[in-house]
Amino acid sequence: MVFQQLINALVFGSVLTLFSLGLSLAWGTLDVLNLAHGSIFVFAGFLAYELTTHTSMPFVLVLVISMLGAGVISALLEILAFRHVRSRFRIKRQAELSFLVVSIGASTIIETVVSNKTNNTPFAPAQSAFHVHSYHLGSARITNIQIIIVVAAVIVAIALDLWVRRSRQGRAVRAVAYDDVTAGLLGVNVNRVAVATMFVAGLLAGLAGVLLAINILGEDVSVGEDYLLTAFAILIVGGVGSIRGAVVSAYLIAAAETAVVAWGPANWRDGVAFLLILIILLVRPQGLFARRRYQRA
Amino acid sequence: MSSKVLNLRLAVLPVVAAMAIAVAGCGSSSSSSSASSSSTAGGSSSSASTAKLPATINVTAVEDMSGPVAYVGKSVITGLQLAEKQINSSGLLHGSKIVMTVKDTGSQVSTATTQFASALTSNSVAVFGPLLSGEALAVAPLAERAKTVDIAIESQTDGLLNIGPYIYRATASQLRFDNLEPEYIAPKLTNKTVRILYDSETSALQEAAQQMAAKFKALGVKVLSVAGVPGTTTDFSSIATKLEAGNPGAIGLLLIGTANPAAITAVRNTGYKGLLFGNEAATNGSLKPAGSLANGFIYSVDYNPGLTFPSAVAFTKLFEANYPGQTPDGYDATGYDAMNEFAHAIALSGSATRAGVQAGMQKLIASGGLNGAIGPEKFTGVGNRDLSVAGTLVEWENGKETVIKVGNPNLTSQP
Repeated sequence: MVFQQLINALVFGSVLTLFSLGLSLAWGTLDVLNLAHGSIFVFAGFLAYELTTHTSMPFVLVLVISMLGAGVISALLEILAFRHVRSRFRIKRQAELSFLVVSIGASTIIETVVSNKTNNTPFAPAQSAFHVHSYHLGSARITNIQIIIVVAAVIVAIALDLWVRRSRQGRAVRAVAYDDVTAGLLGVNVNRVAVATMFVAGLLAGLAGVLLAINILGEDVSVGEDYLLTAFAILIVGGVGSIRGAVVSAYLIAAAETAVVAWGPANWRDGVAFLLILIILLVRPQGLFARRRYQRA
Repeated sequence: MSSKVLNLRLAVLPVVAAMAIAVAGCGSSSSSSSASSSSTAGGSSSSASTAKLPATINVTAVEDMSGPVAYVGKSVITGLQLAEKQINSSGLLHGSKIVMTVKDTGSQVSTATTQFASALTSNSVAVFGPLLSGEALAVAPLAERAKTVDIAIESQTDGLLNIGPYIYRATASQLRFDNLEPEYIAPKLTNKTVRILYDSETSALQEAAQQMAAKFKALGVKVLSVAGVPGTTTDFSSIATKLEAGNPGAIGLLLIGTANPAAITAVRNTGYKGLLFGNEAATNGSLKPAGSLANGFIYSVDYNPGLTFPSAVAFTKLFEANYPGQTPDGYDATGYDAMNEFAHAIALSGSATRAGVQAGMQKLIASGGLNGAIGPEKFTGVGNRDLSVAGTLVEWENGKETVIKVGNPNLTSQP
C-alpha cells in the first residue's frame, strides 16, 4: 500500500505541476494572477469531451486542439483585457487588483458557457478516444494515462525551465518580468511577449485539463476552482516566479495530502495540507525557492 | 391501499384529449382507474365552494436556474410547468388558471432571499423552492413571517421543517429509502465486509452513511470503515487504495456530482471487482462519464421511469408525450408532484388565498396524500409536513438505470 500511495502522490503531484506552471508563468512574469486559469483548464476538458463525443478524431489531435483552444482563450484574455489594464497603470502593483477583477469576469463567462452546454452535469472525454489500461508494478498498479501525466509533467517542467533560462525568448520574458518599460526601450516587444506568455500558460492549463479529465473521468465547472486554490498555495510555498519552486512545492503538497488520506482522516486532507503551508510560510515567508524579480519566470 | 389515499390520476392515453377532460372524482384504489382517466384528489375539491376561486391563481417558483445545480432547478421547473399545464386543462380548479412565475436564485443564498422576498410581496399565494439547503433555510423564516406556504423542493436539511408550520417539503429524504441498498446487497456478499465513503460536507450523506452502516451490521456484514472526504475532492486515487485494502465485499460511495464518476473510476482502476453502491445523487446521468466502469453501480432513488405504480406510469407517459425524445428524471417528477399538491390544496380548501393554501395543505395531509409521479405519497415527520415515498433500488448498466426493487409504499421509511 505504501508503494501504491507513492505512485498516487506522484501522479497527483504531476497534475498539480502541470496546472501550476502556467499560473506561475503568468504571475511571475506579467504579475497577472489569472483567476480564469481554472476555468481555462476546465474548458480544455470540455473541448476534449465535445470533440470525442461528436467526432472520431485520434486522441493526439483532440489533445492538441483542446490545448490550442485553451491557449487561444488565454492569449485573447491578454489581448482584450490585461494589456489595456496594464497600459492604464504606470505601477504594476496598482494594476494587480484590476487583473484580478478582469480574470474573475473572464472566469465567470467561460464557466457559464461550459455549464450551459453541459447542464452542470459531470463530463469526460469518451472512453473510446483513449483506452485506459492498468499495469502492475509489483503490488501496485498504474494506468497508461497516469504514466503519460507523470512523463508530461517532467518534460514540461524541464522544457519550460530551459526555455526561460536559455532561450532568447525566455530572456525576453525575464526582462519583461523585471521591468516591462525598460525591456520595451531595449527593443523587446512587450505586447508580443505577454501574449506568448499567456498563450503558453493556457496551453499548459489545457494539457492538464485534458489529461486530468481522462484520468478521473469526471469534470465540471467547479473542478477548476478547486485546483486553483491548491495552485495558489503551491506558488506561494514554492516562491512566486520560480518554476523549480512550483514543481517541488506541487509534489510536496501532493505528498502531504496523499499521506493524510492514506494514514489519517481523509476529510482532514485540505486542513493538514494547508497547515503545512502555514508552517512553511512562518519559517520562510518568501517561499522555499523565492527569486528576485530579475530571476523570475 | 388506504381508502383515504387520494388518487392523482394523470392524463395519458390519449394525452391531449385527457388533459382537456375535467375530472374530479374521489379516489379509492389505484387499481380502479384506467390509464386514460384523470382523477384527482377531488372528492373534497368538488364539494368545496368554487365561487371563491379567482380567474387566475398566482404562484412563484424560486429555483436554481443557473449555477452549479441549475440542472436540478431546470428539471424541477419542467415538472412544475407540466403539472401547471395539465391542471389548467383538467378543470380541477373549475376554470381557475394557475399562473406560475419563475425566479432564478443563481444558486446563491443572497439572491434566493431577495427573489423569495420579492415573491412574498407579489400576489403569489404560495412559493416553491429554493432547492439548496442553505437557500431553503434562509428563506423559510420569511415565508413564516408572511404566513405563506413554502413548498420546499430537494432541500433535505434536518432543521428546515422546524422553522414553522408554513414550510412543507415535497421531496422525500433519501434516508427514508436508503435501507433498500443494504437489504439487497448484504445477501449477495460472499465476503461479508463493507467500506463506506461519504461526502463529509453534506450532512444528509453523513447520516446516510451511518444509517447504512448500522443496517449492514444488523444484517451480519462487518463494516470495515465509514470515512468522510471533502466534497471538493476530485483525485480519489489515494482514497481508492485505502478503500480497496482488504478487498471488502462492497464499497459504498455516497458522493455528489463529479465525485461519483471520479471515485468509481479510481476504485475500479485499483483492480477492485466487488460491488459498488451509492446514493440518490448518482442519478440524472451523473455516472455517464465513467462509462462501463460504472456498470453494476447500485443506488436508490425516489423516481425512475421504470416504476410501475399507475400514477408513476401515467406521469412518465405524460412527460414523454409532452417532451418527445426525453426521459423524465426524479427532479421532473418532484416538481410535477409539488404543483399537484399546491393545486389540490386549493381544491380541497376552496380558497386561493394564502390562508386557503395553508388550510388546503393541512386537509391534503389529513386525507393521506396523493398518488403522484413518484408513486403513493405520505406526509410524515415534523408536523406531518415531510414527504415520504417507497423509493426504488436501481442499477446503472450501459448508461441506463434499471429498477431492481421498489420499496413498500405503505411505509414512511424502509426498514
